[in-house]
Amino acid sequence: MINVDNSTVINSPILIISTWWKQLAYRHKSAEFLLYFMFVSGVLLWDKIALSWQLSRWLLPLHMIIGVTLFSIIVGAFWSSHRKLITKSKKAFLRQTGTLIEWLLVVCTLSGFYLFFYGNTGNSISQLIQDLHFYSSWLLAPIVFRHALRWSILNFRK
Amino acid sequence: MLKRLKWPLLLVAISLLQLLSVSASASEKSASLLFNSDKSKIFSANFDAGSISIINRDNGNTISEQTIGRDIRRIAYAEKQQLLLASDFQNNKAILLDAKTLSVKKAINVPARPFGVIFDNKNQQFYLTSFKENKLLTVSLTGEITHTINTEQTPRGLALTDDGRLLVSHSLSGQVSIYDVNAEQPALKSVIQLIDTPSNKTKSVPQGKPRLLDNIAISPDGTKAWLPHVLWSFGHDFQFQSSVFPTVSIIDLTPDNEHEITEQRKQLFKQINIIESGNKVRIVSNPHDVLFSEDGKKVLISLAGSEDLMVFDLSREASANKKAKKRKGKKRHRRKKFQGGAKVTQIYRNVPGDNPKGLLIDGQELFVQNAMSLTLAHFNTGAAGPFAKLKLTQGNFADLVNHDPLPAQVRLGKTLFNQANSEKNKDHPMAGDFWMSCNSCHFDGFNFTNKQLMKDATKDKFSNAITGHVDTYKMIAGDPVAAYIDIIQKTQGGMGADPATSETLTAIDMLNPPVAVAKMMGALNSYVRTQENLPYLSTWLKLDDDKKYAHPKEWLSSAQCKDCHSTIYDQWADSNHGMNMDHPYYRYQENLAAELEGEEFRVLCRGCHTPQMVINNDNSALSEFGDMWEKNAASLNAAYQHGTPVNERGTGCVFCHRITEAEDAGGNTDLTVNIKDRTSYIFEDSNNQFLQWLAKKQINAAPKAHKASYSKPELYQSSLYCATCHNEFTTGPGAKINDNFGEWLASPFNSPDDPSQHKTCIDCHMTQDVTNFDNKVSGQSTDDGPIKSNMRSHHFAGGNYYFTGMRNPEHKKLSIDILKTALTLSVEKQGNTFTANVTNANSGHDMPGGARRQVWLEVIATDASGREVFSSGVMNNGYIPKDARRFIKIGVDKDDKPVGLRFWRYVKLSQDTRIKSGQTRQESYQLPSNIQYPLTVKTRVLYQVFAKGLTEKVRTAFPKEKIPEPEVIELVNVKKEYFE
Repeated sequence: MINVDNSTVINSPILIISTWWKQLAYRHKSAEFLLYFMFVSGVLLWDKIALSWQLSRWLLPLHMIIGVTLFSIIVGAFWSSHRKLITKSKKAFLRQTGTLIEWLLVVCTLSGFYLFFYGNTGNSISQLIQDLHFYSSWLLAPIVFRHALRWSILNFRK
Repeated sequence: MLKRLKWPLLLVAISLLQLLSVSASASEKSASLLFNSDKSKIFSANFDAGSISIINRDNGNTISEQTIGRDIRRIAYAEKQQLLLASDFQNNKAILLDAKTLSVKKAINVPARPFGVIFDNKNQQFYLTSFKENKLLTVSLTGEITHTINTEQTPRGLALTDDGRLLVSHSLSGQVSIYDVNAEQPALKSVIQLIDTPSNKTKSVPQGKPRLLDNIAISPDGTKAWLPHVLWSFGHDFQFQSSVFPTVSIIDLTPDNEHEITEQRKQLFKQINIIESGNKVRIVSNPHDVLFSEDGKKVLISLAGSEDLMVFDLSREASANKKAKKRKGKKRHRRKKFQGGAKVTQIYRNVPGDNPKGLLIDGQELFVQNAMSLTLAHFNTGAAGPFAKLKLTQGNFADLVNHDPLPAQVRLGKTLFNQANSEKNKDHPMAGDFWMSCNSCHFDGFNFTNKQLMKDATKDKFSNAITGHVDTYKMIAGDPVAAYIDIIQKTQGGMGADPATSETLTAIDMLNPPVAVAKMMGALNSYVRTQENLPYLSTWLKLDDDKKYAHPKEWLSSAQCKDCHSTIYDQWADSNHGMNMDHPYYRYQENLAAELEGEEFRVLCRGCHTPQMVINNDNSALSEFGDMWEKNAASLNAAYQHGTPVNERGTGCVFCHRITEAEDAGGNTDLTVNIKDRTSYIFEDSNNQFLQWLAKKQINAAPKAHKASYSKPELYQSSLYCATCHNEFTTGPGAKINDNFGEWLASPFNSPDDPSQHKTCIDCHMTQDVTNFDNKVSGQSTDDGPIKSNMRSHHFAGGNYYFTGMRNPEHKKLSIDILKTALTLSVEKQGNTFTANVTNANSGHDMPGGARRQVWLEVIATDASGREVFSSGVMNNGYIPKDARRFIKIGVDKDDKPVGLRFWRYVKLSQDTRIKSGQTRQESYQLPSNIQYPLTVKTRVLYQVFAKGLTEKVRTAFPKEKIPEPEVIELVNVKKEYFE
């Protein structure tokens, strides 16, 4: 009987989703990897790096397409799940950096969407948005790394 | 005893001192052939083979060969570091190599046409000249450009004295610059202008301007520099025996007193005492490289055209100098003008191989590098002394390349282009009596040097406007084989046309040449049509690519640009540069050209009117696609919506914005367009709409690369950019048909030192306020883009209100507005003489600027009763009366008949009453004497884009086309009343 009950419980779609959602808050690797990927690919498109056009012409659509698809879905889902841990965290540092990351993610992602769908046509607003995208990413990546230091995929010591 | 030994000891001491001074005065020169440090190997720059070879000096075997570029002209050797620096002339690169392995260490982008290169051991740096961009560069041992110095025009050869003076020869201006290179950055000391040899009534006597300077040799004692070159004597029509004279100029290198020793100039053939059989002076052509023998007593010069080696004996020069001094001391009167003493003692005729250029000497061994056959010949110079003769030891001592990258046909053509050796192809030689090759004037082929050629050959255009070949058959393109034979016969005395050989040779019939000649001319045509020359023959348009033609799909449709640049696109689409440059008037003219000169000649017109057709090899008739009434390039938009690539008529966005170079050859579309290297975003060229959308998103997200790829502001700001099409000359004869650029250069608008006055083409024709060129109007060239303080309008407002007016009233207004700003009019009356003063006050070129434009004065005088008492220039049924005062240029053909629409056949001007920029024309009229005052005189300057006669012809040719009457525009008017 127990087995039947258990089976009923386990097979409930809501419960499955709920469990997956809760677990997702701890499955940071894909999201973190994508965030770093977006940061690195974005930096490589920076004029100062002067990457050859043959590489950057491929990197640009990759950055853009992954940004609006995989990044938005995976990081979006992860962060939505993960933010409960942040708000409930007893550690002030994680709460503070988490909140900062959240705001930076909003700024960086929304500006990215703007640049994707509207672009930087050279006027003042689009220039400002490009700057927001650029500078927010420079803050976002190291803060994420510091925030997730112990569990970070870049923590090679673990 | 001591007394007895005194003199011999002194002589020995002097000899030793001389020897020491020789070794201490070793100098460097830019070269294509060099020894390695122990002289066991020879480095060879293999010209158009694009490689460098290392040859075993003893047996001529190739030790290694490395292809490093496209056209390696010179190499310099840094011995200690075992480095070579090579100049790649066609690729605009300098290449740093390991001298042992020939592996490339660095390819350096340098200003256009790098040529001379030399290593400065003291400063441990290379010097390099940019022939086209007029620069002298210093390059470090790591391949960094450390200094870029502006020089006089066309710097080419280099030589370095041991006391730190760098000599730079300026090929087309006949100058030698001397730089102090004791410091790291060269500092200009002086510029020596070689003299023009004065003109002589006898045209075959050497005379003319020093041109084609290149190699420089400094004497072992460092006191003199020898520069072989030619004299261009172009004050008359081109003709062998009177146009090009080989010459050697001598420079005195006394520090701080460097100057040309004019009396020692070797005016070949005065100083050539070599008499051939028949008591005839031996003729040589195209002197190239020059070397001193190690003892300094001989000078050897290669003759690249006639394919000879020439030996000067300097031991005579010394004695002549002594004699001269002696004479001076004894105050004896001069019997004869001193000509420098040194004279040619030997001409070694028929150097094995083709086109002998580079020379290299060691002791009695002389190596001669053939640039066309890419071989090395080996000679023995003989012992010291005036009677020693140069002897050939091995004709084909070494093959410089394993594989010639040029197709055999092109190689043959290029060899013929450089050949003036009348011994070769003896029955139909390229030149009569070794005089000149094509390259004697068309230096390095067909490129920017053409401008100097035309400049030096400019004569009084009212007696002779031709600067090139006379009466070109079928304008070359219509029948290249016959035309080349004709040119070779008339200009070079080749193909049996030399009167001196009339008994032994028959002049080739250009319309029925022997097969061998036809093959030769076919090969010559192949070379002329290479990418570096005139790939499309009649036009100077070039595609920067390895292939000759592009595919329509390689272009972006201008309609695609509309998505983000709608304002600019709309301006362009209805403009005269838009999609309608194949209008009926144009088609009528092009058809006439093809009918008279051959189908291929259409390309001359299409280079500017439909360049994409030329580049895409589309020879179809201009009957479909678009018409002059079509608004906003509708058919182009429709084609774009359907994803159909088209050959745009007119100059489209990609064409103009991918012009990478204005050649400055004199016009005729002398520009290079590059479509292969534009920064194409992923999916940008796709026909799929979603993928294209994605491409646009990429451009918008990161537009810098896009902007950089389609923008070259420094080129657009230069009037030279527009001159590529708005300057035209006849193909072959080189008579200037249209010279808007030259007119602008001479105008007050060309004032680079006064920015308030200085205006280039786009400052007037691409401004939004055409009534006030100083009013910079802001705007956006990109939708939602930044506000530019001086947005360049793409209306291209000019004198043709007719076509643009059919499509867009705004364009018509702009055109009429700019026309009305050009002239001012004032009138005066003294007695019965009425004078109209017309001033070209606001146009940077002659007025009118275009070929078909009608500008004339209309004067109507009425008396007190309103009766017309005088009139001039009043149109009669749409025609301008013949006695009207017109501002017009009329060219005539060789039979003195006005050329009209056959403008490419004009040989001189019969009339040029156009008003130059800044000038005033006074036109006086005699009024009748018995006039009832007050007298009212109405004076107008009228303008019509096409004469009625032409319109009628075009209507007849294209009866289905709706061709309106071009309206007459009043540019200015003055109405004045006189009471006596």
